[in-house]
Amino acid sequence: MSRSKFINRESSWLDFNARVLEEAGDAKNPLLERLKFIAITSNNLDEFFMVRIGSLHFIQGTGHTKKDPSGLSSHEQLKRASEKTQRLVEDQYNCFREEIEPAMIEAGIVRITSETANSEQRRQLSRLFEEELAPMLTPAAVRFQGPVPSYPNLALQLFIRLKDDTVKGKREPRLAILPIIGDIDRFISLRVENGYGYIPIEDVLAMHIQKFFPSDEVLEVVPFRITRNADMAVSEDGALDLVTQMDAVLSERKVSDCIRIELLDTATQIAERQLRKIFEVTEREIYRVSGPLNFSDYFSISALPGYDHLRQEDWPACPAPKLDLSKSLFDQITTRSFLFHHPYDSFEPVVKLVEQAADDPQVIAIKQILYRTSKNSPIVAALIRAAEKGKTVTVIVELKARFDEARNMEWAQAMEQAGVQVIYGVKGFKTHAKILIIVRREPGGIRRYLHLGTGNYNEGTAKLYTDISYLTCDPDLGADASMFFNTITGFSQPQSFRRLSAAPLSLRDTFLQMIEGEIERAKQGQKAQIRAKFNSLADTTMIEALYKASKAGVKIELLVRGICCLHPGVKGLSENIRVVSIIDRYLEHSRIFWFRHGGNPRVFITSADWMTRNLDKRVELMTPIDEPALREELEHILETGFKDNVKARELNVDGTYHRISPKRGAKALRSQEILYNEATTKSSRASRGRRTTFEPHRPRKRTVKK
Amino acid sequence: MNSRTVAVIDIGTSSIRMALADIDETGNIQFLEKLNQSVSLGQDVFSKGRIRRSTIEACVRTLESFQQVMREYKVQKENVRAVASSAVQEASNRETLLDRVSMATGIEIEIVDDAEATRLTYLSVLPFIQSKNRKTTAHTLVMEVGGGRTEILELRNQRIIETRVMRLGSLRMRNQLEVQRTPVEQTREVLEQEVSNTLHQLKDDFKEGDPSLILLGGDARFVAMQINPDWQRDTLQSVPLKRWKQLTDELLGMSTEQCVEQFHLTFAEAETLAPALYAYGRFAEDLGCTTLKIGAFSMRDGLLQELAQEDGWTELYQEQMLDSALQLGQKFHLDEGHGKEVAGLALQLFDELKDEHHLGSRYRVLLQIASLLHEIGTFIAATSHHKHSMYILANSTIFGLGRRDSRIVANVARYHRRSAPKASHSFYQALPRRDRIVVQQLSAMLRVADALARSRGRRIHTILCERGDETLFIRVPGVDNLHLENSALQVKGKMFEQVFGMNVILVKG
Repeated sequence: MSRSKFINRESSWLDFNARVLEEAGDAKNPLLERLKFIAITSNNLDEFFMVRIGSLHFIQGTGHTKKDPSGLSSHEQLKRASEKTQRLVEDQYNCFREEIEPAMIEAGIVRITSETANSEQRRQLSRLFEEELAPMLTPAAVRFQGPVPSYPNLALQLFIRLKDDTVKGKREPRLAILPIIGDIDRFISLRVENGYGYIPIEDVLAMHIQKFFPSDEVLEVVPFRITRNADMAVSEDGALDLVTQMDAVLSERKVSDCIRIELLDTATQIAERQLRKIFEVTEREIYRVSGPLNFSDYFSISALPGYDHLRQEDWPACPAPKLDLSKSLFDQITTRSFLFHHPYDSFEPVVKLVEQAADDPQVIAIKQILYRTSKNSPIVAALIRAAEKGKTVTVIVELKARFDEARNMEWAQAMEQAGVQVIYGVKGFKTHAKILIIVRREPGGIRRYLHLGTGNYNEGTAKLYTDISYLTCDPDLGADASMFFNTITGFSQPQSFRRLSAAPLSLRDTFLQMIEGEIERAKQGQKAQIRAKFNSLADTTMIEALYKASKAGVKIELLVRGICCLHPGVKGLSENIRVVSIIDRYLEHSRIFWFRHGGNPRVFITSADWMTRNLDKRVELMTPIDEPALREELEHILETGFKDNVKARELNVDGTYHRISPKRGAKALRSQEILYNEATTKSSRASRGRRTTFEPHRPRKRTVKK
Repeated sequence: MNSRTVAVIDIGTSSIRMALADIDETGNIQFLEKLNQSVSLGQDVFSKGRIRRSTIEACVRTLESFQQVMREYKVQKENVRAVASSAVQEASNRETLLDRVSMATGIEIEIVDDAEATRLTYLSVLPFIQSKNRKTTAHTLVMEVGGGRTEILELRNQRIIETRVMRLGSLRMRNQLEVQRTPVEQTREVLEQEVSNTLHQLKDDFKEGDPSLILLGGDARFVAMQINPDWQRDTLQSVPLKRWKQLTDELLGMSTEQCVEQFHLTFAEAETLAPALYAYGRFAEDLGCTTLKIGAFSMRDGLLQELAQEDGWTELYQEQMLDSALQLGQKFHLDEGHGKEVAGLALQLFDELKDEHHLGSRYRVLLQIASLLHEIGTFIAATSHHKHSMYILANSTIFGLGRRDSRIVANVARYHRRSAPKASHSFYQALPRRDRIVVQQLSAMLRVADALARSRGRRIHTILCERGDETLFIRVPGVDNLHLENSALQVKGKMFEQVFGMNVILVKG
């Protein structure tokens, strides 16, 4: 086979983002949802640049020549990635310019420009500039001598060319940069008849730019944005899989850290040249765009109040159909384990569980790993309350959760002050496992209640990401969970678990053993099958294992939302493997692994993807789900995903994706819609079956000291 | 139902382990947590004879972190037991470790000697062999090759018939290999020398009757996990000797580093593996066993069993304790008849006075043993024989009695005559308050029983107790003349009066 066995990771990621963009281009989606997909695409690209492209730059700069699994050097990868990105960005802007914006105008959401603003709007903007913007912002002259000032990463900035100076008969360019930073809205709302008008802040500033330079002639104003390399030390997701000696790379760091400049395509060649000179970048790092910079800011417009008809109907989460939240969750979990599929099922039971634990006098300890959580998290509040009530509360906070450091710091300190034992991560590993342990002293002895999940303890993302929650008080899992906690907090050395698997200890081996088991069964003529749903597949060992399984005749179906470096359907290598990616309103995030196991399936949920970083560099957990009813729920989720013929794309042999559409005469099946409808039905059936009870707020009982 | 959370800590040659468990009223044990941290105690002691300062600090740090987990479960101090085995026992500076740990953590470490160790091992095995088919366990050898010592227990029908503890240890063997800088190819030779010496000592002791062989310890458990990754810890994992030897050969051909790498072990675990496996295999071979069985129990299980049995021992266990007590008596030419007579009467009193003393059945056994052996000191001399009894009992091993139990028994025997406990009696004063009260109650009863047996003619077999105001009437059916007993009681009943607030009056018929 001439082709490499692996698809290049960068290329696969860009394909994923192209699939997201495809949703923006899909006229069947409501307008503001399409706008949101444009914003998501931009947001994704920013992170991709900082982390992946950033590290490729790094490596290239150090002259390392090691090739990636697909056989490309860092130079080739960078070249291909930037070509592909240029096309993606072009598609993105075409989509916005030709489809989204005209439709927005038709719907009454109008972008006003300096040319189209009427006199009343101009007066409003002048006032805004004089009173609010001018006092906050200052342009700085650009000097080519001396150190380059650090211009802000990812922020919008204006590049201003003034009329040249003539010094001793020589013409000297005069340049200035105005970073738009501080508490300034990107879009200024303007009054328009029958609709909503807005103007981007850079246009407002450009209109008034002369006021900053009263005695100079402004030749050109160019809005632009730079992207810097993320700090490599915190970026375990960098392309470091390509470099063996990280320290060497760091010490050789010489390359400029600007890796992208986006600017409006109206900019003159002179302006572009000068920007390249200032930021020390080549032509390849320049991205000229034909519309507003930084689409991420359009999230706010996509959420504009009063335009619900341009958004998809609300899918409110179903209030825990199986659990009665007004009663003790502990009592209910004692009778059976529960499984929830967010966001179809509400995240409330998980929050409630922590809250009940904080107030329950029988609870003696709570342990939890918090990776990314929300700002005013009720979980954090409950943990603080629990600690104040004298319970032992231990929280592992992952400070390295990308780009969230400052936010994490704040609530972590609040917890510490309340007496929570806060552990700031594990040396050398990012703690990515999602686990909550509640230890309760009951009349029959100590009982441990667990929440094990695939998603973060974040009520915000729990409304947008599909994830699995498992609530149980299984004593074996409880013992494993405690042991796991003791291990990562350094209280004990790793010991073998009864049922859990954890990375970086046994998780990879467990996966390989399960795959090997299917291979063995296939060889013995049994039916062998693997089904899985996760986010990324990039680890070459796992891919090789799947190839081996495919060759042995194991049927493999994968729902891989994002990166997939595996080539499916290649004759003699992977003809038994099928890869499908679903991009819909919810971000597919749950990780479910299913092995036929000779007809007695083994099903797992986990926090880990099949990426090298997850299996070797992170603390991850995998939980077997053995209760038949719950296992069936997970099987159903997988089954529904593979049936999708509306939002699903299949990976082709050549590494491209094609959209799956219903066969002639077949019903259109959109998996997220199906799952949502099912959840609603279940929930309403359950609430009908439950008597309505009212729970009065009573004053808290006080214990009188005698 | 009330349960309590207990912690047992085992300071071994290469690691400190803790098990936290819940024990309910019926003595059921539910494990909560198991922690494990490597320490190089054996390394230090078996090569230098003492524990290095840094190792002491590592122990303290480990115990401090264990303590944090104990705090989480609010484990009470009286529910913590920490024991140390051969490495600490042999360290010349062991007191430094014990003091440092006590100061830093409040944890009091007991040093477990060989007898105590086998007793704890027996306790850990017992629930298992009791619950299983007796046929397979009729004649069993239980063997553990530890870092510093090897224990062998021979059981027949659940009773111990022979125990052996030898200075053969996997870590000691590893040390030999290191000291001699043995190349991998010669490992087997060096190990064979070490092992055959010990096997030679055993001679033909255990070779009769085709026993089944149960192996304990981390190294054996490693094999079980290799053979069967899904091994259920409450069952025995069988391994054919052939397979065992294959694995041993494989390990003998590997360096420690390779072991660590291939089996995901810590260095401490990897180091002892080959020597231990070799020793087990050779022993099995010598015995002619073709199958080895591996059990997951350990000394920690024994400690837990003991904590769980705080309120009483099983009948079988009690029988073995009494057998062992009588054996001790025989050694010291004890008048067994008198002992048994007093014990019988003392137990009747104990049962009749339940509402007064509120002591559990555990103390009934202690009273029985103290009564049986109260005159053991006469072997030394008749004068002050009660004091001789005390030190003989304090320094002898009676199967089943822990350190605390032995001290109670020794004190009770001591106070069967003459002076009641005094502030100047240091052995008595060293007891915790709770135990001092127990000693007073039990000795008071023993004295009364001894008075009743004064004639040494076994005249009195049955007694009936009736309570009046501040008086206990002891009715003695079928005996006419109680002069002898009454006059003895004049002297011996005083303590009873003081302890129980009742004077004792004997009543005929």
